Amino acid sequence: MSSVSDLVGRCFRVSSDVLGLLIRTLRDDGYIAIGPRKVGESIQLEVLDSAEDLPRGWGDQQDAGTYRLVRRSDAAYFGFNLGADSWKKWLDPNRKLLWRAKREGESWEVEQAHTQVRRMAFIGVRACELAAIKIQLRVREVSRLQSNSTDTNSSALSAEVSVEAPEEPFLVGLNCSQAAATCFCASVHTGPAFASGCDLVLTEVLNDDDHYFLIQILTKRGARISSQFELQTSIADDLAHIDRQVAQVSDSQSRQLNISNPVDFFSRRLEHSHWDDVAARCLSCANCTLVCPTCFCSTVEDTSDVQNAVAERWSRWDSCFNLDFSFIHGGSLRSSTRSRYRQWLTHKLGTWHEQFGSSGCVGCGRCIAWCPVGIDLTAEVKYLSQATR
Amino acid sequence: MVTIAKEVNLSQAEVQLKGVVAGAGDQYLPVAYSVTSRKRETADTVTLTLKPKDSRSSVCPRPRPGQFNMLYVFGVGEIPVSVCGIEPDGALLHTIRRVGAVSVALCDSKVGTVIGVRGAYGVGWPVARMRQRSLIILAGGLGLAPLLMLIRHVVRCRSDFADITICIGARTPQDVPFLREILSWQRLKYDAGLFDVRLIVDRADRDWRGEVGVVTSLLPRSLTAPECSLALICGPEVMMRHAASDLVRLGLSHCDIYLSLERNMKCAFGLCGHCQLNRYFVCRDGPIFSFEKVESLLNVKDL
Repeated sequence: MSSVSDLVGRCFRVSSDVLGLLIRTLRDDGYIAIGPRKVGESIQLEVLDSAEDLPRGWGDQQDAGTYRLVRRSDAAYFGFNLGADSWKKWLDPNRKLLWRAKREGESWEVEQAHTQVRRMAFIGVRACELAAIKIQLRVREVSRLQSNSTDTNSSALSAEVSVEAPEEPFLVGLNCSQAAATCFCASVHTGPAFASGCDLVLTEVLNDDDHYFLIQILTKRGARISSQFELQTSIADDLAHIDRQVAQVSDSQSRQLNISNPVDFFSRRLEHSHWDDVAARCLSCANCTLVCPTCFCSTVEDTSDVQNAVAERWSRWDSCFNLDFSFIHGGSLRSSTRSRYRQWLTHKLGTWHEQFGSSGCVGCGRCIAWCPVGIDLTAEVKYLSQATR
Repeated sequence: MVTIAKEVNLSQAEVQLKGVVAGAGDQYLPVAYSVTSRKRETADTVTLTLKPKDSRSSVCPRPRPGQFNMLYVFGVGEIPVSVCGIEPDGALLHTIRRVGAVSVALCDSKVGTVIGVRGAYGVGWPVARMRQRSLIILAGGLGLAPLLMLIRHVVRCRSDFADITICIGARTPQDVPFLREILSWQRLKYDAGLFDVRLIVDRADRDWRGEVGVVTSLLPRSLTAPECSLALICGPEVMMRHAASDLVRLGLSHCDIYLSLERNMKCAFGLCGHCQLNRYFVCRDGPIFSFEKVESLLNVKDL
């Protein structure tokens, strides 16, 4: 066996039961393994104890306003697409305790919330989701950088903001073996191919008489974990297979999102009549923002116990679709659904570029599938393209 | 059968990854300040003087004119409030109107009450650009509060500026905040340059001898040197829009007119998303903006 670091950059075949060993090895190494699990009638991202927890043999049907799990005719481990959960559930949990304060007479003392640092390993991260993780990291990085440099009065960003963190979650990427009808990552260039950024990338190969994974080892810690597996030398066609599979997933995507100059596109369309058309359908339910892997808005809740002796501040996901999101004394600034949908879409696809240097959309299609009335942002953008008013 | 994982009840609130999961908990930590005096300004506004709770406790950075702090009342909540002054000993002055749960609790706090302070946040008034220029300062209602520290600076360093016109509007004579101080400004005499402090109310009462009307009607009819003038405006957004347009007609450049905007804010450091105005985070990129930056945005309804 060659030394562990020699494995970096190489691709191997591993048997389909490697997933159990992967989860066990990660757990033995101190990671909490998190990945897809069938919970009720959907696939969620939850803690995995073993490969038995993976939704093997399940697939899904998705379209605008539709998400259904269906039994597959085969035993694929990853024969489904994205569920409502994204990794932000773990990286930026819905509810976080920020601090606690205790009253002592007239005064009080505040203490920062004790946060237990846990090492997480994410299993089955798709290319679009890796892009989303990076976008959320960048949002926080920009906030930290710009709030430290006061009085800049400028939204200009330095050319590159590092998204490298001292301890990133262990990322096991997954090349998609199929696209849902809602997917459009290819058109926004976040997938389906991986560039880099994962520790390992898996590709599931399943045909009539064979079921195995191809594993690409991209980092040293990825190599250390993989050294526990029975790695079989891959053949030349294996890498070509990955390329073919990625190309096929890409070609099968029918939805597209192409905006050549997004900042200009939306700033010219703030009064477009189509906003009224969307508003007539939109329920302002906030589903799209909750399932969106990059939506980062939060609110704080200040609570106290019955005796008003202990007070806490919690952070919680919030949505620009909520009426009180823009509340100042006298009323909400965005009181109409029209203005709230416009805020979401123009931010996600337009002003996000000015704030964070990229689009806020990774083409995962969750907002299309989980919209109860099937509003499809790719279609809305097409309508908005037709005229400027 | 799929069962819920044993560790699923693992509190997500506790799962934080160093460096990756931005807890931001430290950025949300308030510093304890004590209310050392409480002064009623009008029927519904109060000015609180805040000092660090004890000599050991940390102190928020000294705010510049136009910046704001986040003020927290134990167990009630937190709101952004502009800084309206700093005492010589560094104590913070905040003027608050009773409009919601937190502001009512702030107004009702007594001397000795401990208030949480985070700040100072935001971009202040363009003090560096003001030197040697004529200043037009326009305040509507409690919009005078974020301008107060600036006006005190202007009064103290009068010779640094050319003509100074201060226009203050309020709903009724009873609603004029800092009235005694305004009257003291009106009595000031300087050797050189215009120093004009004008006051107007929407609705007069029997005893009112001053002007009646909207604050924009106090603006000068013409300006001798608009290219050397700078306008600083704070008040209701509709008033600021009209005032800025009037000033443009008087010959001021869009980039020489500054407004102070108000939005919902939870974090104050550009992360919670609440205060967004198109591309801007008002907490971080504002609350003071040049008219050049926001004119087109303010003209869009409900943006």
